[in-house]
Amino acid sequence: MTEMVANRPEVAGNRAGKYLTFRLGEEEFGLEILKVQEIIQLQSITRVPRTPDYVRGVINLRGKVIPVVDLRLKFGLLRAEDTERTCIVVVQIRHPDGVVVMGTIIDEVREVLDIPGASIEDAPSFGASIETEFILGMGKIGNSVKILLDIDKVLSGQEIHHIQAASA
Amino acid sequence: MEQWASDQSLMPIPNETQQIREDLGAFRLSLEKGEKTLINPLIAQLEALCEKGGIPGAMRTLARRLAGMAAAMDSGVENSPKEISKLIQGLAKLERSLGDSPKPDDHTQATPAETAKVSSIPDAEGMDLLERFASRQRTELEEFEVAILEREKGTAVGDEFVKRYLHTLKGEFGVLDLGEWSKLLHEVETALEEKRLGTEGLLRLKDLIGDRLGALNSSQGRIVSAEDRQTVFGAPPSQFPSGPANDPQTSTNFASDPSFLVDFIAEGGDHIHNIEKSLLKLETNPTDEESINLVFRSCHTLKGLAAFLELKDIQRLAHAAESLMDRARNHVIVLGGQHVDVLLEATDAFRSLVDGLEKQVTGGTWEPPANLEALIGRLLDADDLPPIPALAPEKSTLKMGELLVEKGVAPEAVEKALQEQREGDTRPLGEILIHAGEANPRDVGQILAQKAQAAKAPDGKGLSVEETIRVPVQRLDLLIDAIGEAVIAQSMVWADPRLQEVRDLSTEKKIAQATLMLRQIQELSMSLRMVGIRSTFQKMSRLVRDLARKLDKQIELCMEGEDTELDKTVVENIGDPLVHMVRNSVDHGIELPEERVKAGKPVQGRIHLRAYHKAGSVFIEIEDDGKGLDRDAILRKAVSAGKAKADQSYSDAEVYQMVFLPGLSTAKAVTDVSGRGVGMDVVKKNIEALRGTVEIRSEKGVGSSFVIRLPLTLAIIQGMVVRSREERYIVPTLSILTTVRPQEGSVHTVVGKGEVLNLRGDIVRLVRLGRIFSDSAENDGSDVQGVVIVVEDAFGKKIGLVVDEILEQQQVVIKNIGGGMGQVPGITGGAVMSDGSVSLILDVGAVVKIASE
Repeated sequence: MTEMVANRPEVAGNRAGKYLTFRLGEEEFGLEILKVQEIIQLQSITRVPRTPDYVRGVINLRGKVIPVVDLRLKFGLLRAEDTERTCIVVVQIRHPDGVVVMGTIIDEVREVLDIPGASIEDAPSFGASIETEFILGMGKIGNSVKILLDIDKVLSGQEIHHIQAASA
Repeated sequence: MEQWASDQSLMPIPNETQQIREDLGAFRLSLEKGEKTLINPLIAQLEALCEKGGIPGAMRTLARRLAGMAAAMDSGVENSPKEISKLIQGLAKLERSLGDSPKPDDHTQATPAETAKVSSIPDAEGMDLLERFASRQRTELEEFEVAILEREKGTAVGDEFVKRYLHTLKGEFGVLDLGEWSKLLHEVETALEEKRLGTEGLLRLKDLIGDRLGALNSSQGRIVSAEDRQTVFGAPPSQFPSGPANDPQTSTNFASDPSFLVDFIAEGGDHIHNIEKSLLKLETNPTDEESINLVFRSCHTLKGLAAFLELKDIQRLAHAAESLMDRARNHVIVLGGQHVDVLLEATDAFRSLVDGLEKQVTGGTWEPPANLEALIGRLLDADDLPPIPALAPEKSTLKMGELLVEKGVAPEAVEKALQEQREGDTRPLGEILIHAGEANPRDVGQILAQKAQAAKAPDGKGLSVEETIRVPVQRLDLLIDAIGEAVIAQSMVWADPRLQEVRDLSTEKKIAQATLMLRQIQELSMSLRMVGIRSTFQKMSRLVRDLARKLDKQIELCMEGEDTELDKTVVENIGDPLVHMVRNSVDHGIELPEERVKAGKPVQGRIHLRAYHKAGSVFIEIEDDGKGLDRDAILRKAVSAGKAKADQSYSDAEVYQMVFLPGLSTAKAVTDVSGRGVGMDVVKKNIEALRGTVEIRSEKGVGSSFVIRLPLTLAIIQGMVVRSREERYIVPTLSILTTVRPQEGSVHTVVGKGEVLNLRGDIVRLVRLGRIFSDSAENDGSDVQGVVIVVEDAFGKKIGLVVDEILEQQQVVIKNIGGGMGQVPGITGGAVMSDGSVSLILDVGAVVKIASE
């Protein structure tokens, strides 16, 4: 926790850059474009037993097996039926074991935005149904606000331990 | 202008450099072609160039070393292919450096002081050299260690290797401008020659170099401190006499010290044996350079040793033999039968001298051979020896005549036949003898077959050194992955429904052909990851040696099958468990010498380490002839720990498996129980992680053996694809005992315990895969429909897995189910199926555990 706090100012310093924006439920999110490896269609997912709900399972990404996390469930949103716009954003995250490739299921991909540092504010310490440590900042684009995610923190670290603890 | 003229005397004339460069190139090319041209003038030129300082910085050392190597080659010393390729590399480098050597007008660079300054700081290229040196040394150090241990046993090969390695290393340190290290190595070499440094010192040197390899690029690492010296030499070298020759008092002490003499007797015996063996080879092939060198070196070593121990007779005899061999080596004389005879006579004399020494040591009396002086005289005047005609026309190490005598033919008859041959009979010896009725045709036939065999066998130690390329493992894995994907893509094509409709024989044939090729490539790619287990085994020999010494035990470690290949990951991970088990064998298995004598066993304990392939698996065995496992004690301990029931009877195998139980492996248990079991649970776990098993066989008082069975590769398993609800799973075939479709009445429900299956009288617990792998407590009825797969975990515990359907048997490539997922209980990994989807591979051990929760 202390480490996270200590990291904050540094992260805040270079938050400006390109973000891939997408929709989850009613809210719009942003993901640092450098973390995104590719966007693929939803395909058949093999469920892995004894893992938390939000781990939808594993898929075959050109011969590599990668885990897929449902971001809706991860953020405590209601599960939605998969539509033809539902897709998997494959991200490369930093993990204690090194760089790890994971898939995240989102409702719809929107666009790639260049967000200047001035338009990014720190996350408010209240509101939203999302735990704030996953949030890099709030990007203001026109009238809308996009929640910029720190995907490393969303998918790694304690979360993994959580998965293990839940399944053990 | 005048200034420039005076400088020029320091520099080689550009033309000369150019000439040497061309000569070097020609020499290198001839080397690459495998020829050995005479390069005497080149060596002289190179040396002259070095003297003049015309070669910059570190290159000078390289040039000197190359000149040395080339000279050694020129004089007929066999260089290994490795050394030759080193020489070629060095030559190329030297050529390059000569090519851009300072031009007369920028003479500032050429002053020796300047170059020395520049070279002391490693530049980018120097760093690269250092890195390469360090990474290469890591493996070579291991070889060095093996050689040290080999040398301790008194073999000439080990001694030879150690000396050569030290010498090469000294040179390399020199090239890398690590002067202090080079100096240390030189001191070690000297100390070794003067027998001031033994195995312990060499091992300490090896450890020191190993520890410091990574730091050689730092200024700290370049320095060899007094402390380092002390580590190697045990005490400051100055305390030792500078040499026996300067200090007769000490040398007499050395000479009169029986332990030195005993060492000499053993070592000398080996040398004499080697000389004799090589001489016999030379008799049939007088120009075999390898044998000539071997005899020469052995004589030389004998001479040195004898001189050190002040054994005058042996020293003089060795000197005479050596000088004869030296002339043969330098092609002054061609060894004829007469020379070999004299040399063999000398060998006999050596032997009798050494025997005499032995008698003296043990307190007996002995007379020196009377004809020694005459023999030495003849050795020295070998040129004047009357040549004797070659004995047999056959060019083979095995002689028809001798072999026939062994078979019982009278020597006189053979002699007579030989005489006939000399007088012009052109028939082979065997034929003459058969004709004369002295030998029977069957014997002659046998011998001829034997000879044909010998001729086919490679001549002596015609070592075939495999050429290798170092490739980063990561790149290799990428290749293997890519090929794995290609195989999957291929099977997706094969399984494509539209293609199935085509049903065209020629299309099918083509696809089948492509499939076959791909499979072959895949197998090949898998073999790329296979490495020999040698280095892991070799670590054990040091371990055994050190431990045995510490525990005052006498133990011999015999290794077999070091070339057995295993997946790199397996080899890397089997080391720790092996160390544990070998340590156990040394510590608790092999008894103390006095106990062994009391038990009527040889004083020296024996541990066998074997590796071999059998039935698609790799087996590693650790066998000792120690006291064996104490069955009763283990059982007692297990019962008191609540791991076994006192009233139940267990088979031996079951009891031995108990040593792997976690609770039984505490230090206390080791002494209380049979002594086995230190961390054995960890051993078992590690081996299981490699999908292997361990089996123990033991007989009290006779010894025990641990048999580890490992899969050939971690990448592929044979599995049974099953369906449970909507999901497909793969059950590793290795853990499947049997599959049954339960008949009515064979499934019983035990209240509070679940269902059991009566399998031919064996009661097996049933576990529904769908149920343990599902979060929902959905009940799929009380009837067991579907199929029961009876699986067994590594501890022999059986359960019956109830699945809906068995789909097929398949070989699958195991994939990690994604980083970040952590360990999923019950699942070892995933496999991409032919339709592109992923199936999960069951971890049977974990499933059994989950089921019994």
